[in-house]
Amino acid sequence: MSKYDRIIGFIWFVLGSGMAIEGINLGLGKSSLPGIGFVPFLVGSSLGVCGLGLVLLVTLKGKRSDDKIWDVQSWKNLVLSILSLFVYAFLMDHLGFLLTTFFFLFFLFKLTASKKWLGPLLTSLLVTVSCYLIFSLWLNVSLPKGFF
Amino acid sequence: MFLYQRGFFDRLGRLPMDLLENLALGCRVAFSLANLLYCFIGVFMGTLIGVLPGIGPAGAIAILLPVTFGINPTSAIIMLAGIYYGSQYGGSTTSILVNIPGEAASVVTTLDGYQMARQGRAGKALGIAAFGSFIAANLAIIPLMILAKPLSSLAISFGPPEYFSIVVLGLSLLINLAHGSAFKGVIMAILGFGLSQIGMDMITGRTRFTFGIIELQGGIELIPLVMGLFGIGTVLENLGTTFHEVEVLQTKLKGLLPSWADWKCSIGPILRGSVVGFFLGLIPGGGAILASFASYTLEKQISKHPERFGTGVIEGVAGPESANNAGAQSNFIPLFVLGIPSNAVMGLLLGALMIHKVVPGPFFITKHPDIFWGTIVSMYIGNAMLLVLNLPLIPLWVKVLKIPYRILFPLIFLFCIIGVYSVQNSVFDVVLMILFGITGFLLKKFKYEIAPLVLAFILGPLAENAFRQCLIMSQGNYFIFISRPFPLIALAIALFLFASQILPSMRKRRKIIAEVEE
Repeated sequence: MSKYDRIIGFIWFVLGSGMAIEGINLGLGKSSLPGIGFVPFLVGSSLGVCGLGLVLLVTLKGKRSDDKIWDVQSWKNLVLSILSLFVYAFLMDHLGFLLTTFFFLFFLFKLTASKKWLGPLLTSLLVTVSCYLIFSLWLNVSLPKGFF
Repeated sequence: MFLYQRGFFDRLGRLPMDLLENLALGCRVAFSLANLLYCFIGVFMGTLIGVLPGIGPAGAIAILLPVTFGINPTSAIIMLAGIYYGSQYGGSTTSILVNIPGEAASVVTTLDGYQMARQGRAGKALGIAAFGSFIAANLAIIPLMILAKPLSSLAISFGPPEYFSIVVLGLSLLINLAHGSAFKGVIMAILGFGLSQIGMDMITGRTRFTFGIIELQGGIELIPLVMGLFGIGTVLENLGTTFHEVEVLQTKLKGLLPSWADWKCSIGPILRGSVVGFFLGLIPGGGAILASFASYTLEKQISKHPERFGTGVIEGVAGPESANNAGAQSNFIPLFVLGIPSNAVMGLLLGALMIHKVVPGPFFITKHPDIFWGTIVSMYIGNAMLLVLNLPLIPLWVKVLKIPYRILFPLIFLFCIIGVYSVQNSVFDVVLMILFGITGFLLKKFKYEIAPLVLAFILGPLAENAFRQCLIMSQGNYFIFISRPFPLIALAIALFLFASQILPSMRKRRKIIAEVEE
């Protein structure tokens, strides 16, 4: 068990308790006719109890000092990739598949090959066009049109 | 006398003829040009996906699912099934040559397979993996053919108590046999159940936990969850490390055909792996991944020289690779016969069948014999194609492996997004997938297993429905869950599996497996 398990245990406890309370609000019904809140109440209570159990386990057993969890060697790649995913998702319906995909791929290729421009540019173009041809034209997969 | 009156011997006598007739139907379906092509596409894509770490068969099926909308359900299932069992073959190539499992069921193959490659025996490892997989898959298809119809007849008598107990047994098996903390596995299963509660209640039609978001009224879709947790989450995990060019072991691949001595060492593990894999694949929660771990553990335990495991013994490759393929075949039984998906891949196949208005379950084989028997025969064809494809095409797979990860990961992101978007044309689903990706990354960081969460999410609605129906049927009497033999036995086994977690020997085993994983 690591030192973070206590915090995570607390998160499970809060989530579980919230679910159990909402289950009560939805209506537990009776044993012979369970309401729609009955199972959420059971699930939430179980999660809350497990969360509490995890907190107690860490407290009683003691925690390993485990710094490996945050041994992320490239936070920059990670964070920028996540941000690019969100930006791509929000823009794809407005700008369309071709434009957003090209810039998305170019950004990610450039992220890991910082000094080169031509390679990422050409690869992004090639992949974007290929994906459009394969998925949209050949396989008839519906992709956002944007303003094209 | 009783059996005679029930026509048991009559049915038994007709079994061989019925089987031949059904196989003939299956051959007519599977040997059509179109279905041969779809089978080939499926197994080729599956092998490619198995070779490339990152997407996995669930991701590949999710991406290609929209492609199947325009084709008939038989061809769709043949292709998608081919991807699943094809990926088991492909995963062994990276495990052996690169020491990185191409997909989860090939993790244990790295332990001895890579060591064999380092000793100049890569050809033997690849060869026995391919042949073992072929033999195990074919062995597993035979009971699949024979048992499916009788199991369907049995399943007709199943009611809510049986379905509920199967779900509980499946989850307890998954948590018990998986590596990592069992307690955290239980938490993941509960969380998966919780996520399945979001959306409309199946019995009353009222919505729960939607927080006013219209897109959540139908609940969380399986594809964004699976693609997020497995696809995006895995890539984010890899992005957090420094990119290293994949070092494919520079070794001459000679002697792909196993020698007599190799067969002598491997035939036992192959046969045992086939049995282990077949039976584990029958139970929801079991399947290819657990089968490979269970087979490796078994071979090590019964070996006269267990200390040699991990140093490059052929048994360490033959057993797990056979088991994962056998499990991949028998996974279809719970889906086709009961309508219960055993894992994320089967969940997606269930989705594919429902989209084509085909409902798997006890009446599936009688209502759709062409789909069932066509898929069975195509499994024979597909496994033969895989044996032919895998060994001669190894140089191609090696070239594929050398594609730098900095080029691969944006493509994986893109294919995940296309796969999710194309199902409902929903940006919300794409955002949900990204959020699940971040969640999957964090869960893995904190040593939580994703598989129980996904299985509980898939089976949650079925379990809840069964649970509530049981209580309605019994007027609130909880003894209904143990009032029939099948649920009683299943729940007793589940309880035993949970209780065994506190045994010192079991905890030691989990600790050893976790250390091996690291």
